[in-house]
Amino acid sequence: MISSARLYALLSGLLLVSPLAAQQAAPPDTSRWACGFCVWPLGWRGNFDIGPGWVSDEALKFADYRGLDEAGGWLSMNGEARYLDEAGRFLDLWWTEPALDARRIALRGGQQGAHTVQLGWTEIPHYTGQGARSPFLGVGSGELSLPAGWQSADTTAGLGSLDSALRPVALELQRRNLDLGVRARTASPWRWRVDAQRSERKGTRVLGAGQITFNTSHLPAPVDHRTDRVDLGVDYQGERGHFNAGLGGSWFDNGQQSLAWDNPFTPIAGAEHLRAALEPANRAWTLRMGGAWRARPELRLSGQAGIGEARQDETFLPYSSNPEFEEQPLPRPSLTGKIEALSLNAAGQLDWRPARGFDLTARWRFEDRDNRTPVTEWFPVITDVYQREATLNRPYSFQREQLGLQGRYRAGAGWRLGAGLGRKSIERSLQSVHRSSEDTVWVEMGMGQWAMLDLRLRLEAADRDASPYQPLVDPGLPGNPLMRKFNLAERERSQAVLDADWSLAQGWSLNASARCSDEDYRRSPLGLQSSSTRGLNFGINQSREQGLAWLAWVGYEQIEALIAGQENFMLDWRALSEDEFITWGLGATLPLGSHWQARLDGFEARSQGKIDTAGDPFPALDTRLRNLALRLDYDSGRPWAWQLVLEHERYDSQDWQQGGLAPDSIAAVLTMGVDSPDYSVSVVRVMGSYRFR
Amino acid sequence: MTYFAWLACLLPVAATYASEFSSQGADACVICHGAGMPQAAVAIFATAHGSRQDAEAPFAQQQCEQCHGPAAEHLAAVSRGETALPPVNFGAHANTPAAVQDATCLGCHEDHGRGGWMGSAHEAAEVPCAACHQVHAERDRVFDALAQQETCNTCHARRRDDSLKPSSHPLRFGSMSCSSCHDPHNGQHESLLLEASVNDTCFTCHAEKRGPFLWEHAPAAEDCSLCHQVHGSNHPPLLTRRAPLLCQQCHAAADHPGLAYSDADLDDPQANRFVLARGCLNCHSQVHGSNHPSGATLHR
Repeated sequence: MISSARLYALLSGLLLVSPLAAQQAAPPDTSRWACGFCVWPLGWRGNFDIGPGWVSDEALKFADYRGLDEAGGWLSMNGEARYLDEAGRFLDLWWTEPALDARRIALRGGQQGAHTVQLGWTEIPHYTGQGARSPFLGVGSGELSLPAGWQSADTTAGLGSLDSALRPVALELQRRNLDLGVRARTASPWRWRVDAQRSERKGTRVLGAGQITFNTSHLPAPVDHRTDRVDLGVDYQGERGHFNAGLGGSWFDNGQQSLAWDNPFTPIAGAEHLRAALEPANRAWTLRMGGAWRARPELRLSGQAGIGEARQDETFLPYSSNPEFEEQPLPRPSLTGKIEALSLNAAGQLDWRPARGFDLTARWRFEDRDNRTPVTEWFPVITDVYQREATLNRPYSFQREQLGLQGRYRAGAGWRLGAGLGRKSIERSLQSVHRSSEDTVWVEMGMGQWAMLDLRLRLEAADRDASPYQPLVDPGLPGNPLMRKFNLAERERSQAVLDADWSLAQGWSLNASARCSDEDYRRSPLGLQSSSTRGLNFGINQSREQGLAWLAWVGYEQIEALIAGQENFMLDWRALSEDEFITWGLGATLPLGSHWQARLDGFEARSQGKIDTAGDPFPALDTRLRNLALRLDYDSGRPWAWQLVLEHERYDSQDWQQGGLAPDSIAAVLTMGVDSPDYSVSVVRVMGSYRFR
Repeated sequence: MTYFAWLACLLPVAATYASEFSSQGADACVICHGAGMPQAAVAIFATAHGSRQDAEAPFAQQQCEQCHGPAAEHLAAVSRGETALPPVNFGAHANTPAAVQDATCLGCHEDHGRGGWMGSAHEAAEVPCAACHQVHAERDRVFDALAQQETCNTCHARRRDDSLKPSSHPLRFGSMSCSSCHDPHNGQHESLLLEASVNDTCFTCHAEKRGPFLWEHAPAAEDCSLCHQVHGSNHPPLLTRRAPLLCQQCHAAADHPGLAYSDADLDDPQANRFVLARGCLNCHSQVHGSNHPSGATLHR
């Protein structure tokens, strides 16, 4: 006789596993779901932020990407406006600092569930050197000339008219992007999309060019780039899979084909006027298709394939602007008039979940860069001084293939185990190594949901083999047969990563990460011998709905590389390059009563670079960036709120290589005398924010 | 009745509630999750998810329960003063498994761009959609360039540090964001890149480097990251090392390419031309390739 207790227990167990308990809920009758308490924000809403700002000093490094390149005041404006109506038509508009060169404006509108149109305008200023000066006239054009009465010499010390001829040059680039996007959903499950972008980049950059190793000049080269991109796509989403196809095109044009300049030094071989080619116009298109199919609930296939082409057909410059060589015929007027580089990309993936908590993924990738540029015999005139013997151009091609298999198991109590194998192989043409392949194995262990602590440890090892190294023979300076280019060389690599995330009560969270990786090229007699990276990150923060919220973080990274060389095939040497970075930051937000809130943010980023060759190290490359910002918000209720922002940023740097050089500091190099950036800048903004709804 | 009798009577009731929808839909939810409440969720009405005109949007179907699952038990427990979560709740630390959360989102969003989610690094690391996305905010933070970086940096803190290095992409002030180069949903491309290769990704903004050139520089044609540290570097412009050492990793020809340069050369007029200013790039400035007939040595 079964006791009543056991009987009830049995009934309980049966009910738990019964179809009744496991049955999914029947779809509800939503016609009675009036959503009467739901409030859609119909009409217009948003905020306009406007107010004066003031910058204490002019510093181009400070203004880089930010746009505050002048001391003094500006009208700061930010905001967004949003519209929604009962028919589901919407319009969103937002803007950032329209008065600055780093302005951004975006517009997005359409009909919910039907179509969306997006329009965006972005400007990005980039300043690459403060204090730049040059004696050249015609900056901004493709022809640079020297002022009348210019005195040439063999070295910069002898350029007698240099000081009087120097004029400031603005080394800055301005990128402007106009983006357009359209999304449309016709009869579901089809979706269509069109994306287009025009990107223009204009300004002046530095181009170094000279004659042999005797002398060279840093030239203010014009940048007048335009890139147009169009991407058309269609997506189909079915119950068990989806499919997508896309066609993309990209057209790059350069407003300047070349840069010509008067030789400021004593001409060698009579080359008084020199000319370099700038980036040629090119175009490319890509056709892509992809999709995924769920064959069974536990089995899924996905893949993507693309073919494309890149072409370049710019008319060639002559071999040389030196009159001694101007009669030399070219083998063709342009790069055959039609150059194709065919690329084929494909990827496939199998995801199999054969058992609960266990999944396998197999992945394959293939890429083929088939450069069909014909190989032709050329007779280049090296730096307008001498003509080299016949030289063949090398249109590099390669095929890359990647195979990977990984398995993951989610055991109980939050444990996760994973392991994987992979092989990457690449076949190259016209290079010293025809084929290399790298085998990788990794294991991973994770633990989560134990006292809200999540830990992850990953260990990875890889070994790359390569076919026999066959040094290429080039005209000109003979190469060292012991050199092994690191991307072609045999290599052993290991990596370890440890991550920890700990979510505590009261809104506390901690996170920490440690990583190390080592690459060993021990089979390379010359070239990169080894490289290593060590990194640590630690962060802590507390966020609460009321009261003080704060965060703190610190990061450290060290990158080392050992390079082996040989002087004139005789004297061995080694050089160690080491970079260290330390960053740390604090942030705190504190409500002050019912209307006020204060926020303080500060960080410091320090870097140091050392290069030690043959025991005689270069000076250190030091940078130190510090920033402190205080923000006070006053909110008296709608519609106005106020904001005061005080920011101070300081940057100190010592760059022995690129900073603090006068145009004539180097005997054989006429530089532009760019300063090593140092600044201390304060910014104040008082903003009123008008909110409307 | 004995304890077990009570248990046996309650179980069918509990089993029924666990899989039943509410009777009022969102109206029942808004009572606790309305505007001004500690767990307010009504900002969703300003988004596409809250649309009633879009037949595929949750609020045109089963409203809150379209994503969170049948809520009858949750409502019953709340009415008794108990704490009980809906069948599906979302977030990095939610008790609903990431795979279940993702299946909810991918039920509608497994289309272009999300097709490569399965087997991707984030999916394998069990990072659910809601770890990054905010469905209940008027504007999802990942669509703001700076807030997106903060989101990514929660796990990828080293990239925050990289953006503060002396040479970096324009991330710090929001001119670019992580999604300018990466698609975090698509594991079919290496390193979750937008395009199939590193170079194709770089060429979307730097098409002037695409070529093809008459004289190519092999590493530049193969992989930009052989010379560039794209997230941030101590060596402008985003180089892994300074020239001449950068170049001497691969070049050791006779004469100046193979010489050991040191501090002693800074004042030597015969040597400092190869070290100071831009090093090798003082002369060999066409390192990405040259289309000049005489550009075989990347001088022109």
